[in-house]
Amino acid sequence: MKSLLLKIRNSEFLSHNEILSIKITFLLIALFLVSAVSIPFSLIVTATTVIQVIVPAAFAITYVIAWVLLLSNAPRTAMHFSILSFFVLMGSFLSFSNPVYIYLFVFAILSVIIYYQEGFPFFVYGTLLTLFGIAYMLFNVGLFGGASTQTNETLQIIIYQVTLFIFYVYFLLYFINSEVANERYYREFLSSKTYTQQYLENIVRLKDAKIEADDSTPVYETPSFQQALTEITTFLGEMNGHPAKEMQELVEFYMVLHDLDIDEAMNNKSLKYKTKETMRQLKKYLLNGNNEFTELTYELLAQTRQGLDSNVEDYETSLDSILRFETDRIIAGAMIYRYLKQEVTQLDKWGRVAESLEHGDIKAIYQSKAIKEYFNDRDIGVFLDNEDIYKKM
Amino acid sequence: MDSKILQRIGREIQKQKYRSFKSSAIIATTMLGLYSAFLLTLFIIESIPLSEVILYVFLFIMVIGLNVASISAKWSLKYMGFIGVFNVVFIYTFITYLLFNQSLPGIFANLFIAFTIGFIYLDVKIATINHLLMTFTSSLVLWIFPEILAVEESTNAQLAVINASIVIIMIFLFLSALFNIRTKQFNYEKLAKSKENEYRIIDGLFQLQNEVLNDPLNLDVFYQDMHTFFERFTEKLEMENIFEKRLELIQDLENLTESKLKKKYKDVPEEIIKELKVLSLNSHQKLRYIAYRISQSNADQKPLTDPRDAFNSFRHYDDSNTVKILVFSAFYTYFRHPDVDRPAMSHEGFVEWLEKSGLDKLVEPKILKSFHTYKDVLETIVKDALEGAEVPL
Repeated sequence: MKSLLLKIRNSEFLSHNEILSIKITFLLIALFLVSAVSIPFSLIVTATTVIQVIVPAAFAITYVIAWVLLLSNAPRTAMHFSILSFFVLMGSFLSFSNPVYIYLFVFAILSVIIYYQEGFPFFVYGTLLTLFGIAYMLFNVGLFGGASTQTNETLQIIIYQVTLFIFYVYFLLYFINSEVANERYYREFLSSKTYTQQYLENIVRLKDAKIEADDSTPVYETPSFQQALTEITTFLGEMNGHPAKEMQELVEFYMVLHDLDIDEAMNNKSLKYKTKETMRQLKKYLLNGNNEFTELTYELLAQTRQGLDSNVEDYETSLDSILRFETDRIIAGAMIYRYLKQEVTQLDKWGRVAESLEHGDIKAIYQSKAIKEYFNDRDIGVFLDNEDIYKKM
Repeated sequence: MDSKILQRIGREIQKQKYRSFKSSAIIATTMLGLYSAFLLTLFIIESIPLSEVILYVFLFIMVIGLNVASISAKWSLKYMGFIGVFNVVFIYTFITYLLFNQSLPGIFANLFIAFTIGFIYLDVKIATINHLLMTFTSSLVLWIFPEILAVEESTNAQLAVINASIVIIMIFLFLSALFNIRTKQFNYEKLAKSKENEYRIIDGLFQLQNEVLNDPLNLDVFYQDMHTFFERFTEKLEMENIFEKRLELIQDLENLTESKLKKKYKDVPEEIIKELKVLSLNSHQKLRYIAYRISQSNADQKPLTDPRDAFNSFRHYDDSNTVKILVFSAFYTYFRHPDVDRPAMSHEGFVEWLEKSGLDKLVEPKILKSFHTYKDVLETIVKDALEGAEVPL
């Protein structure tokens, strides 16, 4: 419980699937409490076999499957089963004579789907549920009305239906808006991440070149590194309840992986599932490639570098936003061209950072969609119209 | 980190937030408009006195007008936040007023619409007010008008169960909204930091490239090429070389001190000098970084998998605990050793940068706790390993 609360407090650092797992856990607990009240009640008030046998059985199956999937690290599928459990539970509510309860329960299930903050399930289940709610009211007009309504029942039904429909449409818009915002964010984030991976690729190649030139050894191959890593891992492992032998073997395996072609090893049928699973987990953390480990190390190292001058106010890359005058943008465009044409930024055929771009490559970049992030159409036009002069640089 | 850099990161976060808030405000305003049209139709059908209808219409026009003004005039995030709060309070107050003063059938269901309007805003303050008001008003309606549930003889126990259900659902939705808001906020911060880090990593790359290739950017040759280019360019276009003076200024920005620069260009507005400074190549200004970024846009970029799981971490939910321990140990050991592009870090230095970079939040809390608790043991292990002493386990 304590660790669950700690996780909620630090929820922003959890992955999407971890957050989903927490949400499902909460929901399944609540679902258990709701079912503990509603199912026995529905058994008392109804005599139908469907409600008495099928609903509790179906509920028990979907509910148990949801837990099993959640515990098996399949939260997305578990989410669907938890929603299905709610749907089944609604079956027990159908036995109640009061249709307003059904109406409110439709909102409750819609709320459960909204609770997950997932657009697609809302679209699928939400549409079905809204249609059901509207149809249910349409075919049970006589049941609505209540004790004290003064106006006619039809108008009341219409208001209920319109409200449900607006609620659904509004949340549909909410999810579309959320998806668009997420998409924009992920696009920007992935673009930044992809560029960073490119820079890191060049850094890794430059480091390899330096190691080769200096005739030195990569850090991970030095005995002092291996000794320190083995001892620290073993110690921290023991402090967290893992036997020393298990940790030492893991470090040994980790070091061996540096000399293996992991993709090939993954296809080796003689290897055990557990071994392959550990390989898959460790692959992203190897010390001799451009991977997640490299990104993490440079995320820390970046703190020790200067980067942009502190007087630069933003990260805007569009020359339009940085420079007001066209003259300055033409100068900037020419300077960028000169940089690309003469400075070393590319890998050669041996994978060394040793080449600059050719005019044809630069032209291809200037004609690509990616360049719109930096130049407007007019600036690109200046380049394309005067290509011959640029080429001479 | 320098306060100016923190401000730059803060501005980027605000920019992202504003963009998201604006799209929420647009949807909320549209829905307010649609809802007011729905109410107007209802008032006409129910023959509400014209004077009252005019008053209601006037109120809605005022509120919607205020929203439109805030969106189109690009009011600051702070004021847009106030308007969001105002919208939520207004809509609940209005529906509650209708409930108590107009005998409209099924109007209680409109509370769901009020709830959706408040839900769209991804802001903790608005979300809190929205959920509190929804819980309060729906409970109020439940106890004052129990007949809306069409229960002829509703008991206090029945009403209490329904009320408790409402409270539970609201708690769930509030938690979900909080998760969502915190994740969004974290994403904005992550994106801003990622942009900041991109420049810093390129900076490290420039340094390493200078060392390895022994090929620093030759500014004299660079500017000579630029002068020649603009001579040809203006000659082709048969125009005066208006670029010459600006180029000279940019070149002086690289070499002259600020006082000498002011003296030489006393007639040039400071604003222009500040703007042209962006183009200088050797003083951590944007142009060189942009040029390098563009140079990488043609590279074969590795496709990233699910962007929602693209965040780096030392504690992926599907990694085993032993792997998490090993990976963090490798990270620590790596920084305690010198590498070709950096010296070794002290334990304190590592902890400082780990915390400043925010990477400490990506380590499993239990592992991090052991790491801090047994600091002295780790220090001894590293020291002995670096000095070549064998430590028995």
